[in-house]
Amino acid sequence: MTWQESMGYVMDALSLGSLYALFALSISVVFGVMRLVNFAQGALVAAGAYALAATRGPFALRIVVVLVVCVIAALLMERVAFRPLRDADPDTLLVASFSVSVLLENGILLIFGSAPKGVELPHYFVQQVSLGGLSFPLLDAIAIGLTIVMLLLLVFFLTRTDMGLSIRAAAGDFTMARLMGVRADYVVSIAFGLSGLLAAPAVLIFMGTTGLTVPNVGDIPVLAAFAAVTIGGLGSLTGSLIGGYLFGILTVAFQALLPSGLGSYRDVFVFAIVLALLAVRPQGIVQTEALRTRV
Amino acid sequence: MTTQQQAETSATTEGDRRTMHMLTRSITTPIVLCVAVVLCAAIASSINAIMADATVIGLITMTMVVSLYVFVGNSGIFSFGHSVFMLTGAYVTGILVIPVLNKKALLDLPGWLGNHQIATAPALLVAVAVSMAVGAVVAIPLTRMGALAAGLGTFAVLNIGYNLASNWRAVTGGPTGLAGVPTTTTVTTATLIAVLAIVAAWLFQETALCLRLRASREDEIAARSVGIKVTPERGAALVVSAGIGAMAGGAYAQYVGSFTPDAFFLAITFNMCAMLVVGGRSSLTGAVVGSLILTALTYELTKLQAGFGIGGLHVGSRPGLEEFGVALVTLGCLIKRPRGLTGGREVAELFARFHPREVDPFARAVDVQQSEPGMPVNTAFVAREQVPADGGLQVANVSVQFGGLSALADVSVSLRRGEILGLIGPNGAGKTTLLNVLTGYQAPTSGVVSLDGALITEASAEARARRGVIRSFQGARLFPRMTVAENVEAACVAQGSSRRRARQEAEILLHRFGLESLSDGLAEVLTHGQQRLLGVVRALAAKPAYLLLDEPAAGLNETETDELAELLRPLPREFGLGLLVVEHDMRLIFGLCDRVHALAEGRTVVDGSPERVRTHPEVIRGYLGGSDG
Repeated sequence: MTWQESMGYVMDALSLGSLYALFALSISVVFGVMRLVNFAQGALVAAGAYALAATRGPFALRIVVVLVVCVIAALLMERVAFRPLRDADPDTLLVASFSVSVLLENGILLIFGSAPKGVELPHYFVQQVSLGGLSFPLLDAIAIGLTIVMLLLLVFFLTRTDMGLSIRAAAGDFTMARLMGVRADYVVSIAFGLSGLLAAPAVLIFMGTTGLTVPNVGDIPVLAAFAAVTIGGLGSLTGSLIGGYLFGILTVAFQALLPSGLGSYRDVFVFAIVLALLAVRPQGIVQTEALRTRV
Repeated sequence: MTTQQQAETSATTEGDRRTMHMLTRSITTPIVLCVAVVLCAAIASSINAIMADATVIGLITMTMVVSLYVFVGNSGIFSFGHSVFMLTGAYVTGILVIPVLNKKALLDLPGWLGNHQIATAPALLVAVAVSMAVGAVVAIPLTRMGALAAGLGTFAVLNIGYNLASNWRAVTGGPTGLAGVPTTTTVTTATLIAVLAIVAAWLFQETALCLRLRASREDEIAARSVGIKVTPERGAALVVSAGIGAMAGGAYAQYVGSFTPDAFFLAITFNMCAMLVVGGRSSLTGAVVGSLILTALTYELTKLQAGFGIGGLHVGSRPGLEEFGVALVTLGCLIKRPRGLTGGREVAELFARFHPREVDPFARAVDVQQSEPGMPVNTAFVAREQVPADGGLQVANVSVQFGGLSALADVSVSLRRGEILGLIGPNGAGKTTLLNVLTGYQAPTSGVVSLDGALITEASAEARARRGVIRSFQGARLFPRMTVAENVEAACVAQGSSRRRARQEAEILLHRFGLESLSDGLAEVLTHGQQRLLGVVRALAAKPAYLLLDEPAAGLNETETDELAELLRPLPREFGLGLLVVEHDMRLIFGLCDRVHALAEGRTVVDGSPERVRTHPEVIRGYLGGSDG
């Protein structure tokens, strides 16, 4: 393997990791305030992808449409499905989010049909660039850049704004935050809105790689993101970030290192490693108070 | 015959009667369910060929949902990976029964597999065995995780199974799947398999192991406190349910004849989960009812999906409608009836309405105590009398630090059999922390814990409970969705009693403490006082050598507190145990205890007779002068 090849794999790993990290962060933000691991995050991405597929015109405008669709879909699912289940246990919430996901995906299927829809993207999404002897898809750089920007915005929002502070307070201790006057509906809505906002860049990156969308387009990345949040540590934003990138790196590493006959077993190995990691460290890499039960 | 022998005989007869009662009650469930399934299958399949087809698929799905229930319903951990067991069953059976010529044409199997074809029944047995082995392997990580993390972990299992089946072309045929499986499954065999699954699930449910598992489902921490290990029980349930799932898979393979890995991925996973939660995830009845109802709904929606006409207007084929409808019903059910249509109750319980009568258990128990002083309780329950040297339960020089905060500093306490020790101190004095250190819920930063001379500092809570160190909790922490009798029986089977023996023991104890008329009611409907008392009874059922009660009188009124003291006083002699009581109620402590240990800010203030402690200046300052803590 030449150094150019190695660097190519590093870019791939970081780009894939960015996609998973965005997914994992969206799931974590919501989990923090209502102990919901949202399977429908994948359907949210599907909604955004169809918005992108259905629109033409200036790219900036289409991005705004995707953002609006993702945020509205996220707020709607909270209002209609999850608000009545606010006090349900995490397992019930997870099954409910599975239902919401099936509902949304098949809603899309009913409207758009099952044939894959092509997504038109500006040419720089498929462009190959050279930098100091290194050649890589520009999309890799876009993915990494978008994720860093989103991450900085998220950190700024959570640490510097009142809304962000109330989310962090609620994530620390929801009952206490309510007693201190943080309105539950408000905090949960903001968290869902954030998960919608984070879904939008994931849509762009993901559509950049696939170029087309089907109703259940979000299923595979959401399954990867579930593995990422579990190994990272449920409820920890740092953990989700670490888990997302770790999962991306593992995937690309197996892709690169497995002998050619075994290459297609990449995902088998990755998920087996995830299970093995969990056997050794059941609470994940970053352990939080969220899962601890007090005596 | 002495009074005691008489009492023993009558208690045994009573126990046998109750065993019979419980058996009739519990056998109702599988009989009613099996009859219902057979009837539905017979009627539906006789209507037309399309209905017969839907019936077979429905029966296979039901078998799958029962398999899911065996794990999810009993352990309380949700699984999204159970399609893997169906997948395993389908592929193993398929590969074994496909005629040799077809195998050679389609697959690239090793000789020992490729050159043989075996009959359906032995193939199914092999499939069940392989699937159970798979279950045992995935149980290793899954049973160690918390409930939610384990649920997410099962998605990883699903991915592994799916990707393996999609890529292992030589054996599974890869993404194009297996074809040419002889289609031998009929309505009769599918019904037989569904009935077998129901009976297997019921038999599992009747084991002592499953009672322990259900207790851990209700409250893992409380389950450990009476000696339940949790992990092996969860693993066993996973293995049993993997076996049932493989039967469903085997029947499926031999019904459809050809299939791809996609048949065992997210769509069927969702359907199974939906059926279980719609029916009610914590009962076998729920699993069967849920799959019956959603199978019927799916059938109707599939017809609708193919196209329909409204007033001359024809609506064409609408793929997605079926899944959309099922998801909508499931979501509605989760919101309106989170415990499912059956409420998680079995057939017998659905019709038995239970109202906790106005039983005042404390007064009743005191009555029993006074009127029947020769109760046989002690012969049944004096625990571990053959301990060589009574070194007592001790902590020596124990400190506990949380970060920079010192919760306990150099505390030494000992509890001997036959005595009642009170532990007092204001809020934050470290009483509960000390109790946690004694019972294995908190590791000390330094210092040692010993039991009858042996060091147990490193032993887990459940290991200590099995050696006779039993605690109660500040909240009662009962097993709310289990009956009063089951709460007590779970503690008995945790200590190695059989189900039958546990029933008799529970009967004796519930009678002794005036709760026998509430035996069949769910613990969650009891009054606060009844719950507190049941907490103590459950702890006694675990045959303690040392019993540690954390604020047993919390929330009780003055009369109840007095009666509780009356009930606790004879326990050390009657049950041969040492009793430690943590309390704020000074009247209770000084009226009951032989010795009192006072803590303040994590340090021992004084340890001695009630007289000495009561007159100690620092105790007076803490309790009589200042706030009462």
